[in-house]
Amino acid sequence: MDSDCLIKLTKGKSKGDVSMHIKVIIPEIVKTETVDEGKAYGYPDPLDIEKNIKAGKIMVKPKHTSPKIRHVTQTLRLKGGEVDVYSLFQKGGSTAIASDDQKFIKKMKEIGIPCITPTALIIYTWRMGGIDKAKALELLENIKPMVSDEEYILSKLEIERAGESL
Amino acid sequence: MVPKTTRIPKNLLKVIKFRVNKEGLDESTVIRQLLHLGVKQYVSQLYKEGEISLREASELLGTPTRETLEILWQEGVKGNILVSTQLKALELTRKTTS
Repeated sequence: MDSDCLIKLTKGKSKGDVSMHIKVIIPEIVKTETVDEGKAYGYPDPLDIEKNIKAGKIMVKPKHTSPKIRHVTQTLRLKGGEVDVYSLFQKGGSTAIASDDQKFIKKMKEIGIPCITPTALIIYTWRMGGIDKAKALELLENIKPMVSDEEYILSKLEIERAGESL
Repeated sequence: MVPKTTRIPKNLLKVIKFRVNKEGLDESTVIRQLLHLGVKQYVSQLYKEGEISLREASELLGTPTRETLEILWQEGVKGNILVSTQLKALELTRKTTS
């Protein structure tokens, strides 16, 4: 999971429900960006993230790299946490990269890596039966101020149409 | 800081003078402050349009990722995910739960 996705789910009070049904793995740099830098600026959400890391609900994995990975990250001009999020995915064992950054997702899509947004993770949790419709809509409302209108509206429609394809 | 010389249109100078008098600051400080405001707005717009990533926005603003997100929200940029991206993400949730 990328930093923006983790921060938005945490601030939107969705991370607890989502992490019950999804194994959240982050590289060390995402921990630095979300916890250490967040604390340095006095935001409250790093405390929640840190608590979840200590409880094992969020797994922090060390950097993974190879010449092939380095070649791709340089060619795609990935920066900061993007490099390690991509590298960690390439290590295997993950279904998708969770991010809320259009440019990063676009690059990942171009090389065939599945991506998921924070609101889609709420939908997934609802589909898995982890939360009911009312809770899913509540979590969407919480995250609404932090995601694009397109992302919010499509997710809301998905729930209202009871999961039928749009 | 690096010194730069530029020509400023009269109407912009009016705004600069206004802020100088209002805030009791010197002209150079006011110019820097207004330039910074413009930079924030410009970078936020680039991010909103998907022209730059969050990390590129951080680099341009010289702020950490977490702080950059706050700046984007303050500038009214909630996110930048497009319809096509979200549809794909929702499709993935269907595939992985069916």
